[in-house]
Amino acid sequence: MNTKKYKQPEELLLLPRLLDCQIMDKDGMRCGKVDDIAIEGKPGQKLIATNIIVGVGNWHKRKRDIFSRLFVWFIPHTTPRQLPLAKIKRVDPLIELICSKEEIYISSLEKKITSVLSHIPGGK
Amino acid sequence: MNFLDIFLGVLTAVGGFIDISNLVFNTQAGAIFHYSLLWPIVIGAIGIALYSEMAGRIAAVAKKPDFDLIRERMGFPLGMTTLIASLFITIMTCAAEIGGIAIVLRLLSALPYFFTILIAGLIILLVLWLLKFKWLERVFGFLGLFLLVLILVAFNLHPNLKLVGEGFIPQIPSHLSPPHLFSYLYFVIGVISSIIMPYNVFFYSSGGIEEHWTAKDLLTNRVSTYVGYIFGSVLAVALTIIGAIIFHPLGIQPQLLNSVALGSTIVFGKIGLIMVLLGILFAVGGAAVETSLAGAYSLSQFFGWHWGRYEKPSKTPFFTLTWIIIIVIAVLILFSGINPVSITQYAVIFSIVALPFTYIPIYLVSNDKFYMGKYVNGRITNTLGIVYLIIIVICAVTALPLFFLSQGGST
Repeated sequence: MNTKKYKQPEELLLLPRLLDCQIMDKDGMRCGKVDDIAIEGKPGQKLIATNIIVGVGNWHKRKRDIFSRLFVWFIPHTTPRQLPLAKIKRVDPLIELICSKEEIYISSLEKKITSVLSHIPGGK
Repeated sequence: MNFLDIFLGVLTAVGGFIDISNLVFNTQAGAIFHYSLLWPIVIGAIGIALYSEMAGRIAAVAKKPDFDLIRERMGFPLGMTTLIASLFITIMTCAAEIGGIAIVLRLLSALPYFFTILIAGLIILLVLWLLKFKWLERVFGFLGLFLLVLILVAFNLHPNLKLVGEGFIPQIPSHLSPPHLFSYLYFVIGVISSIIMPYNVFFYSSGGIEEHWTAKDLLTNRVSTYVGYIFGSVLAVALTIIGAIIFHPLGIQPQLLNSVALGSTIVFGKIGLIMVLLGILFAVGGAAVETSLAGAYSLSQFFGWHWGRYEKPSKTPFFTLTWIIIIVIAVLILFSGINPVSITQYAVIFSIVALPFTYIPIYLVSNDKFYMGKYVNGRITNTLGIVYLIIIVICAVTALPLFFLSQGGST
């Protein structure tokens, strides 16, 4: 097969740009990285990217090398969150959402740390 | 164009140039090899200016700090390896800097060393909690200017300017026997590495985001890095000259941080001693702040947590917790009794091994039109960038063998 003449559609070229990209909510709060991308479709059919996946719980699926496995073993196994592409306002080059961080997910650990820090003078 | 901003940026860069690793490596380099290790300072200064300018430009235009780039460009596994290595080095360096503060506090107060370690850790925690980014950077940068006294000291020791000038020519002294040659090469790498340590770039690029830089700030970025760092390197030259004139004739290899203050005391007496101690205090204090923040920036940027000292701590919970933990670990390391100077030597040599993974993503993104548009590197920057990547890779590959062959520069 002559691969030189093959050109990838622009949508597919965009996907590697999205992976590992910083996500920012509508208030300018950073709220995770694109840890994976969910694509629907079957071989021979049109593939459609539906969601971006946020959450370290997904790393062991995406990368199977020894470093990732070891590291994932040490971190809490949070359930990855799926964010519909419709929630993305723009990719420029951070991914900006149309919703706030609270609407997506805040872990109980983050809430606890926030509460402790808020009680220290100057923390809030 | 805001001239005040540019002026303040330059002063901050000059005052913030020196940290404990420069104080140790440059003074020892002068003491052992006289002026023949001045040229690596120039190489290091141009390198840090070049890559800090690129990192600042990326922060201003693409809004991406260094560890964002590392994860995006190096990929997940290599990015994570770099993260772990960087955190290890940053914590070690932070411990060395806090140890430096503790040593100066002990000299100024005569309190027990372990007590001054605790005070130093608490001061850094308090300062980081209370001050916003701009003030953190400028307070320590300006007060670090006390170290300018080192330039006056170096002049007053009347160095032979011809010999000093010859020291700026890249050289490997022909009279050195193999063990001394390894030691010399180890110091070449140590001097370069002490200037271009990765935490500098992490802190600088994150600072650009903290201060909400835009393309309008590119001139400030360029002048602060090139003028500020290159003037800052004069302090490193002064340290080498002081080491060469005071310690080299006596055959002494200074192993203590207070040795640096000796030259100032000889020339200017008590006032000189106080000035240089204050300069060291604020220089290593600023570096302690930079390293603890650099570690927290790295982790937060890798995981995508909200970060920044422009926010209240409760708005950036994981980021805040990270810098607190880094300072606590650093203090615990010092409580184990390890000499901060020894920690510095290990941190500097290990940092050069991780350096290529820090600088390559900066080079790639600063050439990427998708991110940078018309602000991609020019031809000269690109050529120098490639030359420096080659230098960094050579240093990274040879650092550990030279460290072991020279027994940490003591042969």
